[in-house]
Amino acid sequence: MVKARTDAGEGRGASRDAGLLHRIRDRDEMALSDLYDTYADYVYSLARSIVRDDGHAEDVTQEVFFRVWERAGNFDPARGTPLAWITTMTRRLAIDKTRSRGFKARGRETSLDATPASAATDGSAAVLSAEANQVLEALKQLDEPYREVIRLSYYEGLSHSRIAERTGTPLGTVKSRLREGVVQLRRLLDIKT
Amino acid sequence: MDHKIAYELLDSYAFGILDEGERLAVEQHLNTGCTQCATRLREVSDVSVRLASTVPQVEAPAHVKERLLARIGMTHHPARGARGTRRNEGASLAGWLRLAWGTAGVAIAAAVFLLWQTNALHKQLDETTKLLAQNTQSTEQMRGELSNVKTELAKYQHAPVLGEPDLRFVSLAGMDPNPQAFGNVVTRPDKSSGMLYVYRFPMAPEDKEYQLWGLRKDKPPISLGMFSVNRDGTAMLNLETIPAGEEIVGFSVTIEPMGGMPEPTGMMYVKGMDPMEEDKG
Repeated sequence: MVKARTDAGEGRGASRDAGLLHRIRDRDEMALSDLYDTYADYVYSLARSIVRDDGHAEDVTQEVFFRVWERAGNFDPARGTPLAWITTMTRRLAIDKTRSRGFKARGRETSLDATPASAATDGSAAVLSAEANQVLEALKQLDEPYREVIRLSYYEGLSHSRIAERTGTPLGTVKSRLREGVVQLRRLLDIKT
Repeated sequence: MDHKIAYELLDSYAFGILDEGERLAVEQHLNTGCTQCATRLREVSDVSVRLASTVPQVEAPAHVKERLLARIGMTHHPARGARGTRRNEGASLAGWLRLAWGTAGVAIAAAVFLLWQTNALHKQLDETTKLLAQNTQSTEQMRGELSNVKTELAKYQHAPVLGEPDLRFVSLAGMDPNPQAFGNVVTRPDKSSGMLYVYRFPMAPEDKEYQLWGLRKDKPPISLGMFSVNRDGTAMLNLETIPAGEEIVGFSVTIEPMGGMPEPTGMMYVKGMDPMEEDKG
């Protein structure tokens, strides 16, 4: 059953999460359980959107929280919120899984257009949160080359070289478009440092 | 990694699309304390989190948490699931042994491993004894630990030791599920006792463990013990259950349900025949 995401982002209580990570570092299993209950659906959904397979998404979810347990001491608030740390870890593990030898997504293949932007309008997805709609609106406002490189890197998890190959664009251009696209997106979303 | 290169890769780092080498290089640079890159990463990560909000949310199955907590329980309490093995003590030596077996021969390496294991257990016994004396509040807990170490140490009292004549070595080769696995069984000539060493084994699922079998001529295999593997893929098992008078002509390891089976049912991971028994045949 697909549910709408709610209250994502900074509103999730970065200081509370940092406190949980501090306790996890001290081997507090209850703190890990709390963090899991808060973000398990988020991590699972994000992983599932990349690996497109329930079993692989379960593996990634377990691995993410296991690493949180093992490496909570590595979290550095100067580099982002706990949720950002978890997000990066989830994406990396999921993408690594898709790149591993013998990986097969057992679910349906997702085309470039079958990203959340279209999922929001088809019958398979419930109504997205206001925040999600705001992000999708910002994506629409990006110039096509920037939007495309963000879609390929973020929603399809392609490497620079694969994007260059897929779009017939020089590698350096792909990198600079991604950087500029993120800058533009950040401005459109009015994210404050 | 140069600051400029790292800075340019931060978007891709936050999106998780870098390959392993680039990722490690970026992390190495971040670990130098570069505040400019840390700030930039924070900005990009914010965008990444916002983009994630567009992913329709699905409920994670309940068994994922159960598995996670079980996994953490095993890691957090090393005594659990450590039957027949020693955790976290074989990594560096295991690597050395592999090299030694390729050069100096199986016999020396196996004996050194055993000596090291015994020394490690003696050392742990000493440390535990000291702790027991120092901390009266944890007396009961440490007594338990001491008892475990003594039990572990006792397992090796009758194991073959360096210098014993006529020790026999059986090499175990990896089979289809995991061809890179390998191992050795060292036994006394009468096979009254011995040691199993394995390398490059995958961690078994939570409800399974590995079972060592003694292969007999014209008879079904007999179980010689269960074991789990360390996180580095190594394991050691003291063979104290070889029945007297049994003619063991080889050894194999299969994966079986927790607690073991009366006869092999799971996939075979390694197998080897005793060359001296083969010569007889």
